[in-house]
Amino acid sequence: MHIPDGIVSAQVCAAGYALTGLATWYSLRQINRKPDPTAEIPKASLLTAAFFVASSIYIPVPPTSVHLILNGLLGVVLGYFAFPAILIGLFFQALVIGHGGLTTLGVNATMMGIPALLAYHIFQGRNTIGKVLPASVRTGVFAFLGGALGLGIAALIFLALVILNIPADVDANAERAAILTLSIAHIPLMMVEGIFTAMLVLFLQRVKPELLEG
Amino acid sequence: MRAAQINIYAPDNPSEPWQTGVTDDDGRFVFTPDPSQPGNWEVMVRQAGHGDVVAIPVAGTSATADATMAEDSTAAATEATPETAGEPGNSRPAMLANAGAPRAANVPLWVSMAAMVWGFVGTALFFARGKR
Repeated sequence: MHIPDGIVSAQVCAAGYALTGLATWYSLRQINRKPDPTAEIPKASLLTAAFFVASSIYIPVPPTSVHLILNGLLGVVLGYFAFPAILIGLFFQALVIGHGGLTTLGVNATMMGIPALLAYHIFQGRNTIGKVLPASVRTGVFAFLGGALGLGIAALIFLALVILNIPADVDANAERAAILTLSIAHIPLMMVEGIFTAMLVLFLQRVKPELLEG
Repeated sequence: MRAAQINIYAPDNPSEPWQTGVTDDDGRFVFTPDPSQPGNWEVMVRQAGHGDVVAIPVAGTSATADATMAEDSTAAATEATPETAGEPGNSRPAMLANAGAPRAANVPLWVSMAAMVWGFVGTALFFARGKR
């Protein structure tokens, strides 16, 4: 679901970098306000590694195939560390694996990073609107929602970006159909990543609950 | 990429497609460039917002072909002369030399990925030492 070089216009690339700069500044400022800003770096670094590798894991969803993104999971577990983690992960994916590109790094970081921050706030909602649910299922349900919606929102941004940037020379109907097929294929992936996020969060809650406080 | 759209642009007209088509079930597409137009033939592959642009240098059969270009791209040019054909998105390293993933040369992908992961783990270990 990465946007490669040459797909979107230069203006979109520049806007992507501008939004990425803003979001990185905001995230780093939030991190810097923590009592110990470096305390969560090990967790963030390990999850950046997971994010980096995840895009090479493909799941066949006929007639196409999708790869794991894990942006919702990073948002839920890392909070504001998720944005810089995704930015760094995407940079190395573009450099090493060839997923995405350097000109579209800003667009991709915005597309995946901002939904990750939203996923964090969805997960934090377990302490407010989540109070209506019994305490035993609250964490799992909100982790699932964060993981699934983080990816879902990213897929919607991807859909909007590529459908608005179909070049004039290609068959627009066929391209639109292909884009819609790929986007619909992300619905099962949302379920997979949501369940995976819930399992990881429930595991962390059992073995090291302080990791989820951030 | 299966059923991806292909647009081929001749060197003299980069704005209008010279030929369009769709890749087959193995993700291949074969075309025969016009030998009277030497230069870089651009092949755009596109499907669902993914794709690439591959430049295939073609040395013309006419005497006016640019000598330096023909010399620089001997391997690629022979691959792409009209007798054979371009297959974007497939192997043929000679033709894909100027496209594709910007990857460190001659290092297997898993080695560079493992090195990256070790970098992240090392960062984690470094910051996990705690304050002295």
